Amino acid sequence: MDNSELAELERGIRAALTDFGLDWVLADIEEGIKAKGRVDVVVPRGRKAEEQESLFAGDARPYTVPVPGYKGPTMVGDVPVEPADRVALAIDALHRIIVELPAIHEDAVNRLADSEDHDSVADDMIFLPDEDDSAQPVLSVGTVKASMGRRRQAEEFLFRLSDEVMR
Amino acid sequence: MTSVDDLLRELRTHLGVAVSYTTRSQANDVYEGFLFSLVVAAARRSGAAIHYEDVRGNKVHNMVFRTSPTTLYSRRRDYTHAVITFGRAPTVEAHVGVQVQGASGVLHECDVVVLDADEAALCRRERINPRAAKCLLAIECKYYASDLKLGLARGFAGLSADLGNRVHPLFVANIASDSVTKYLTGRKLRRELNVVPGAPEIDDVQHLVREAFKAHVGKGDPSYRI
Repeated sequence: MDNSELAELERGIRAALTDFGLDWVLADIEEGIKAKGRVDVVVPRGRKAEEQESLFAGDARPYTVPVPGYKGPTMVGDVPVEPADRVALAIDALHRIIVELPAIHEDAVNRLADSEDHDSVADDMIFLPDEDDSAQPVLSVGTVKASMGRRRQAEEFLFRLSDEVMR
Repeated sequence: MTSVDDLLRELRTHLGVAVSYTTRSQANDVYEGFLFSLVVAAARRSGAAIHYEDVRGNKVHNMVFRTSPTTLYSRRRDYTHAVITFGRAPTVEAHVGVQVQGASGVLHECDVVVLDADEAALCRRERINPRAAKCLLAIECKYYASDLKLGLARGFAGLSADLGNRVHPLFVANIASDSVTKYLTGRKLRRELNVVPGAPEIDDVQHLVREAFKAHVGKGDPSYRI
């Protein structure tokens, strides 16, 4: 994908997350992009430093990233994150909520059920609010297991999406 | 190559049917339950006798956990905890999402906590909150879809200081973060990142949990091998 397609894809993923009420995922992606841009850079010295007006001038500053073993002083710079990397972060986040989180839920229940001692076997794990008596159980592992087929399809799609981004 | 429009259309189809967790709170709830299961599994592997009880003392097999931290003694729901016994050492209980009183007197929210069963019983009877001095393990659990904010590590540092080292404070997250790692390492605070099913870090978490149990058993029943 070229940069304009990647930008279009990123906009579309953001819009979809908002439309499905997943703003918290969007917020995490924003933080991820910020963090990816914060890297240790070599502190400019001598003539190179004099050529630059300010260490923090402009978004597209040509920072030098230290090579492995570099012993000189470094500072944290904000480097622009490439469009492909931004989309990759978004796809990772999608993978976490669609694939990883249900797997964590299932793993927890399976782990609690994995005992020969009847007393220490747990059948399910549900979550209920303390402040609302009328609330119904949410996040039963039964509903998570029931959606396994759909999750597998979603996982295959996310792999394909990653491939398309890399092309 | 598929067009961007087609990919986005397909993404929306999957988001509509495959996402079970729509809020950050739900994601964190599940992650806390996962860490609870690791604590129970570590106790089981160390030979503990384990059963589950609700707040009224009934033996149960369905885990009912809080969606947000509240008092250990709350009876509005039949919240569940694990009762764990190693030999003749005092029995302990593992809870999810309860408030614990730190050394400063302030109440803290502990995602997963293991404490003396006598203290827990006192709290249920008198409707008071457990003291950190009576806890042997406190785990801060963070589930994020992307980067971990540094503020989470700062918050954990403050929590650890007020709970004290006896509770073996441990920061656990599903993803890695350079800044969180640097910050916690610099303060010699325990942390395990990338803790998800199948990851080797699971063994590291269970090792740290076992260390907390060993410290407890070493005082209560030194002859017990853990």
